[in-house]
Amino acid sequence: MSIAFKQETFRDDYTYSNSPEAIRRFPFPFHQDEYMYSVNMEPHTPGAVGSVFEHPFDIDEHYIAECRDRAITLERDPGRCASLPHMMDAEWDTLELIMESLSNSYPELFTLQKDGTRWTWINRPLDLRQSFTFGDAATLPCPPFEYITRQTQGDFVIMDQRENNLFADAGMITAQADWSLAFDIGMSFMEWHGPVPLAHELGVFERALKYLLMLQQGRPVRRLNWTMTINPRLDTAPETYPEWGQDRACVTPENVGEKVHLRVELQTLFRLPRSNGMLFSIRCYLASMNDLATYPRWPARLHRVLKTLPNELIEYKGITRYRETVTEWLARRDNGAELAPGTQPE
Amino acid sequence: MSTLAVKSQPVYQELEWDRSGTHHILFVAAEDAALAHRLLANPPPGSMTLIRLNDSANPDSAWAKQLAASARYLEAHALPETLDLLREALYASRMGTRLYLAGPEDAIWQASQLADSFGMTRDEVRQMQLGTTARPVFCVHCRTITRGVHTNIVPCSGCGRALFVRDHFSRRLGAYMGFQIDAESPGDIPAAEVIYP
Amino acid sequence: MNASFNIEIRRIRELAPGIREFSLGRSDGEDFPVYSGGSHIVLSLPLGERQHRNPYSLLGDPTVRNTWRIAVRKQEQSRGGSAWLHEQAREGMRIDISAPVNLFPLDRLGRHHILVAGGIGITPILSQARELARLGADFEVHYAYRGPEYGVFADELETLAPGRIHHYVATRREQIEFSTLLAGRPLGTHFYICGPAGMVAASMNAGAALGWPESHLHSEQFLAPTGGEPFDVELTLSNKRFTVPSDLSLLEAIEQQGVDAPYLCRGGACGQCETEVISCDGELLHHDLYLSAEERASGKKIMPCVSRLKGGCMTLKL
Repeated sequence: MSIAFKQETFRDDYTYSNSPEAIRRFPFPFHQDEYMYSVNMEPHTPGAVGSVFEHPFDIDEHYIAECRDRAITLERDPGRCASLPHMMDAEWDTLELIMESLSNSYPELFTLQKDGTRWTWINRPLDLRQSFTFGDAATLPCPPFEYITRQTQGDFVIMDQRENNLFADAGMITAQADWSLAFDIGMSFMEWHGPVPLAHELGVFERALKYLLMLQQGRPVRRLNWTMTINPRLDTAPETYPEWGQDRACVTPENVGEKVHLRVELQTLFRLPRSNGMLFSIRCYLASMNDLATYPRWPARLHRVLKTLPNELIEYKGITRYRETVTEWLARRDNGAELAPGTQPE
Repeated sequence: MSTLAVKSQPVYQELEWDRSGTHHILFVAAEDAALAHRLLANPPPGSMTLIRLNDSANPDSAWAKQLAASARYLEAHALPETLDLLREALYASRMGTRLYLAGPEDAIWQASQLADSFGMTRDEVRQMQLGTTARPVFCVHCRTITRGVHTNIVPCSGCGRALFVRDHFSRRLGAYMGFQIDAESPGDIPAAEVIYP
Repeated sequence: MNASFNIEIRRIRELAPGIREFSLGRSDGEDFPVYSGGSHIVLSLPLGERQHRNPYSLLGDPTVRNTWRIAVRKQEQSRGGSAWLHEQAREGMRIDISAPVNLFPLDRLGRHHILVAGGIGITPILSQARELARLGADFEVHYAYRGPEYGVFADELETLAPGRIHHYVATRREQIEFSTLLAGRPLGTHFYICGPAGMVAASMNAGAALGWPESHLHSEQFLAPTGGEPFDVELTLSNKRFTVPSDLSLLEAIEQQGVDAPYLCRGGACGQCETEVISCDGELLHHDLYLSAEERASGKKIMPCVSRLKGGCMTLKL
């Protein structure tokens, strides 16, 4: 298998686009015509070949461009990567997990050579080769968590487990759906999810926390989450809200198809071995409304979901200003016929 | 960006003694005669230290007046000096200590940060808001904390942006989150209202 | 259901009367994963027709990937697990084990750590001490045992943390005074203990009397499932009816029926096997450390790894 990596941007001229294969494997999140929060976690076991679930960490055609976008964001704001002092073991855990996983999943792209604690990491797409001593941060160009997550698609949080709770004590956050690492770092699981409406009342976070506290090594779990974003922009952080906030006001019936994107997060959680911490990976996939319309089931389903979505969620997800425009556009692609359950494109 | 009420916002209980503790440090940064009377008239077993921010002209503090003779009393006239007194007290304290913080949020969460730095956990520290409800506000754009905010919209003391004050609260920063109110439609800044008197 | 490894018993050492150490290696020759201090694994022991599952703490160096070590004391009241390991187990035998689970982790924000081991309770304390030594953390170990010959890991501990190990030998009339040990400790101190139930309770009482909050008092105590009277069980989801014999736990009996029930610690501590009781005719005997008093009183929940029913029949949602 080889991946044709794209030259594209996630800001300014927004040249990001999905190939037909990328659209086909897009993790469309809606099984049914209505959406509500639930503890929708399942074992993160290998999925179908070619699917986003095939490997523990998915690498796709946007890999190089996403790493480049992350580097731009970090250059402008180094605070997007942060780690509290007691997280160093968890940082090495993360580096080990990702390096071993990527080199197993994609041997033609990544190689990890080990000679005791003397490791060499080869990243062909980014043309990197690094020899270092595992456990000695001074032998890497930057701390281990930052080093490896600069080379991996998706945002990452590491949670420390103590006092029968999980604390968001480290993160690499440059592709977030409107939450701030600088503000949220150190928060408990409930505080960190504090702004999410309705889910607390449903007991979702209480059950999720109880479940995650018992998460075992070698048995990662996953769930999908979603929101909508104007333009294929990864960095929709509160920090840069003044840069992208106005985009929400510029959606018109003419540009809906290309401007409005469904943003799906494949969230995976891994118990980390030496720190007993937990790695939370938030892998973002973007598909424009035009992309979704490739398969008639998807716009029809999304139309029904948006029509019935509670106002609290519309506001929380920042859809309020353009909800009507996008719903009308989708309505024209929904003939009202019954849709079989499931997320499949066809 | 959402403006809904959120679960990270501290919910303060009326302060009660934790009678499982063996040493009690009461840190007060506002007056409340009724609370002082209720707490100090029925002290818990063990030793007690009272640390008071005395920033009013009134030397007849209900806290000082009600305190048992056996208790230790310390005071300072400004918050930084009062926090220094707390730091010294924590340095000398032993396991079994309980810390009680009463005052405006700005003061009690700075005191909480001190407790964190000594390795105290959440079950050893209790907070209660007293006096002004003014908020410390963290600007998510320039990372400056603006203190003593009484209004729902406030100019950032760092970058000058008009910030909307959210209910999202960080214990680590001891501040609420503020973000630019007119990011989606520049110049559209509603009149600020006093809601944190 | 748990991620597991097939292992070979590489080496058996008699450490003291009734205490054996086992070195384990993966049958496929691969490396084990790393684990954190305080972790345990669950061994599936072939006792006749049934698999008997027992948890044991990993005591070696967590960064040594080719060998895991456990130590087993022969239990007086053994229902077969520790007796099998002492009498039947031979070097070269192969058994299944689970991936490591840590229900006794160190608090990484602690500023000082006091580790206490009673007898075979030294096993998780050893891996915790190794982790603290590696991290350069401030810690001390207090190790209590019956007689000089039972201080089986004394030398290993001394090498690990010279000058920071305190020994208490019962035959020399030495014992740990918890009210002294825990008094006058600086803020941010954490206390960890693994040992006999009476010793753990004494330390927790002393801590509470000195005002230590629960979040700084950590203990690990696996309860061995106790046998009891037989009782009848109906499982609604898997549509089974059977009798739990007196020498099997409810969880073991469920497993024997081929039903894949959740579990982690098998010692009433972790909460993973919590099961809904739909109806029950008889008295629930709760032996776990997990359910709250209200949950017990409700009669709606049971931890099948250690708890049973006295008389009658119960229906479980499983």
